[in-house]
Amino acid sequence: MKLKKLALVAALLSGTSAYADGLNIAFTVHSGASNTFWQAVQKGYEDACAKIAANCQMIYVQTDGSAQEQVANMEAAIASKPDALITSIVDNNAFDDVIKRARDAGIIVIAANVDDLEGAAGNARQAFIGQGFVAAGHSLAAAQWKNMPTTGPIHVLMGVSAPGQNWSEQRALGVTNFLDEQIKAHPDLNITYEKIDSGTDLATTSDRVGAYLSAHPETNAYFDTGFWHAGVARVLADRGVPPGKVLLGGFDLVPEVLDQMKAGYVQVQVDQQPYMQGFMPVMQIYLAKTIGLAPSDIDTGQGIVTPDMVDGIMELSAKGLR
Amino acid sequence: MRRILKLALQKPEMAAASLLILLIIVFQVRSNAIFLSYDNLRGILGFLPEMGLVAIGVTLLMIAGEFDLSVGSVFALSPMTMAVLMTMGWGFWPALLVGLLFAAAVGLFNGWVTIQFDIPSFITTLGMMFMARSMTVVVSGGFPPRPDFKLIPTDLFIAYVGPGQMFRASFIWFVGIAILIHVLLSRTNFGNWVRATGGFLPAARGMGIPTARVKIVCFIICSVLAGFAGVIQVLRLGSPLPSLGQGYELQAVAAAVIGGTSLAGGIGSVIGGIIGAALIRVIDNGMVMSQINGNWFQFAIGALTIFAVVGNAWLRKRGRAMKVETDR
Amino acid sequence: MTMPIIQVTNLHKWYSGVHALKGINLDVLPGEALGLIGDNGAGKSTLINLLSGLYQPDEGEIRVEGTPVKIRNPKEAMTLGIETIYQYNSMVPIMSIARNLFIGREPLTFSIGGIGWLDQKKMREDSVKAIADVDLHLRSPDALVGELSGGQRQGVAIARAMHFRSKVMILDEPTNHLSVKETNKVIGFVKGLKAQGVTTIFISHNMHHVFACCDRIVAMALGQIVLDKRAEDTTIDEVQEVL
Repeated sequence: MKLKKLALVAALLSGTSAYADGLNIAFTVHSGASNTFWQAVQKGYEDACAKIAANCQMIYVQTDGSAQEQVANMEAAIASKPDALITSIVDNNAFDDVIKRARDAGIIVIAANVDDLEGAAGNARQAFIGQGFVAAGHSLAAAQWKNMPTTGPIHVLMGVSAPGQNWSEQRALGVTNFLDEQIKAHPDLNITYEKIDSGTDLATTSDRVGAYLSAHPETNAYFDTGFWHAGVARVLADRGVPPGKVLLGGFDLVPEVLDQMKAGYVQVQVDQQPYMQGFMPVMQIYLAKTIGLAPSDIDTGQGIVTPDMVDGIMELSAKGLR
Repeated sequence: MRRILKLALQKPEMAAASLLILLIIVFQVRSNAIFLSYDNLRGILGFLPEMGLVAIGVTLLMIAGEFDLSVGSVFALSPMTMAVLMTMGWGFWPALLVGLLFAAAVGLFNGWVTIQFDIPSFITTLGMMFMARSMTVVVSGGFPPRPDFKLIPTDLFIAYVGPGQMFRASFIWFVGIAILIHVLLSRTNFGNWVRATGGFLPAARGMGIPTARVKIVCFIICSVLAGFAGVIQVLRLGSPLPSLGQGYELQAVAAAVIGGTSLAGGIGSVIGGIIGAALIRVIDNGMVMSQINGNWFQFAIGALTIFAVVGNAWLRKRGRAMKVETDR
Repeated sequence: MTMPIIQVTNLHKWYSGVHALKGINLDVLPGEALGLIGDNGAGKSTLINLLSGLYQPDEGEIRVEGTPVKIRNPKEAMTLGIETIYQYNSMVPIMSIARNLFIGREPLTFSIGGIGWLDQKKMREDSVKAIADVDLHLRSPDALVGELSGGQRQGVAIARAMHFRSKVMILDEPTNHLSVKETNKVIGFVKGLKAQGVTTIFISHNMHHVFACCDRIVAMALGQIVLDKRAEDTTIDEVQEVL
């Protein structure tokens, strides 16, 4: 761990000494580098940095979701006094201290992708650029609701990909909030739902949801807090279930999901526009440093993607722009 | 009769097999007979070959006395390499070959470094786990390549075959490879050397067995099997993601140990590793069927794993304690 | 003057900075039972390790049946007819007697490049014969070596060496950790070997055992040979004094 910190500091320092007047920015996230979603964020980040000739570093963790590792990375990052720190905030308390110290040292801190549940009151970050997870979950469920049968009973499966992790729990919460509202509003429809630990591996999610569907063939829809329902679509196809019989919806655009949308198995998908989440913070930092404008929140979207939009998006998705 | 029972109980696979049958019955009952339904069984049998191949490789290496924690990463690295080459215009078979060669190279590195510098394989392969995972991301250029699946003879690997279309072709590959490795272990002199190397290294060396070479070959086989398993999964699920196989290394070691492979080396069998892998898949699948609360899920899997290993050890102790004469 | 079966001249070996063998000169005559005595650290094990091919000498020469040889690994030693039965057992406890007997030298029904199909029938039959030849009575060649007593294991090890027609058998502390009854059995084995014309080198720090079956005594201390006499020409007391 110490070696990693040293290497990190050395890298940041060498970045610093190499330039004369570009900005230094560090971006710490809670994910490992093998998550393709973050590759899109990184592309937005690096493109923006290129535009303003800044020195930028993206710092991943080794253990997906580890807040402790991320805090350690942040400590190492701010030790070399960058101009700004962009970070996801996956825990309400763990990051408060390091962010405050960064602010005290005059470093601009902007939250991206995941925010403190207490928002601006939770810690000293100056702005949040990303998707409101709960709101996104709610929008997703609302969009999918249009495709639901009009008569009951209606049964929904909520797949929580990573129980205990902020982003997954919040998205699920958004979906179940919507479902709860519907239950209250339409008692005659006999709406029920269940939550399971669906996993973050395509094969594992496919198997688990497949098992559930075998046990509960009356299930009308499945929501995933990520993109792993693409695997479930395959399982349905293998079983000869026609597209649309079990509605599928989830988060983040990856080519697999787009394929399944085209095939008709996935009806709605929420896009949080990861490219923007990497791009915009850099621009805000630039404006703050050059003109003194205060960073402000940006909701990168509850963009609901439907099958008709797929073709245009596919190309961009492959390039990592969407 | 007693002698047969004594021998059977001491066979490492017995306890695992008994537990497997027991759990299948329990889940079948709890899920109102859905567990063994056609669709569900098909799903399990689709996933099993992939997990099983990794478990077989890890088992072989553990019998030789070493560990490989990098199998999960190699699982993703081989198919990613293959996919990238295909998007560059390569044909399927050459791309597949290079992907597997890459896996073999990883195995060679693991073995060579472990032996040359006399460090625990646990550490070498732990480091490789990170390195290979990172290499997978680098090779993919950050975004998973989409090879044209029409150019791949996917049917050869994943088409449904057999009575009632229950099994996938991958299952046949799996069984074939399992038989090959089993025969290697029990019917060839090489297998004898593997057991000796893992069972008691000084004796093996003293009797002239080229233990270094034996271990390296096992490392290579382990990695290649993991890479091949990854290719099969990608063909089945359609996406060469860099995050594939994460966590599989621990599941594979658990499968091997549940199936009776000793952590100390020398003892183990292919059949045991397969039963262990099946057990893990059954537990995971059955838990969903049994409506276990999502938050208790991981707890249940862990507890059952411990139970399986404890049960195994207990049964073997009972077998050893049975009194039978060795002298005439 | 009979040609010595093994001739060691001016053998030196350093282990991690320690001069373990300081110019050893030793002639082993064919058919004799040579007892090698010395305390721990005297260099007995080192000498044996060099003869069995586990390590190579830093200086000096080894001749087998008159020809100078370089024994680079245990397999070469065995090809030369030198079999060593190591102190902590050259058996793999979790494998069967039959498999242990043929370990490293498995009979194959067919093979390609050294790897091939085990001739398990031959292994079993030959094991039964080999064990009977050393007067051991065990129920089945499939029994695990780990199930046998210490004395029985030594018996299997000797049976193995006999089966492969070794010319020289080196027994490294074979009576360690054995009961009285089993010790006698091992001593009986060694005497039987002599009757069959096999040269034996019996290493021990227990002088009574050595005197019981050997006709020549060589004592080592601090890497050098300090006594080399025929057993009848010396006594335990004399040897103890020299060490």
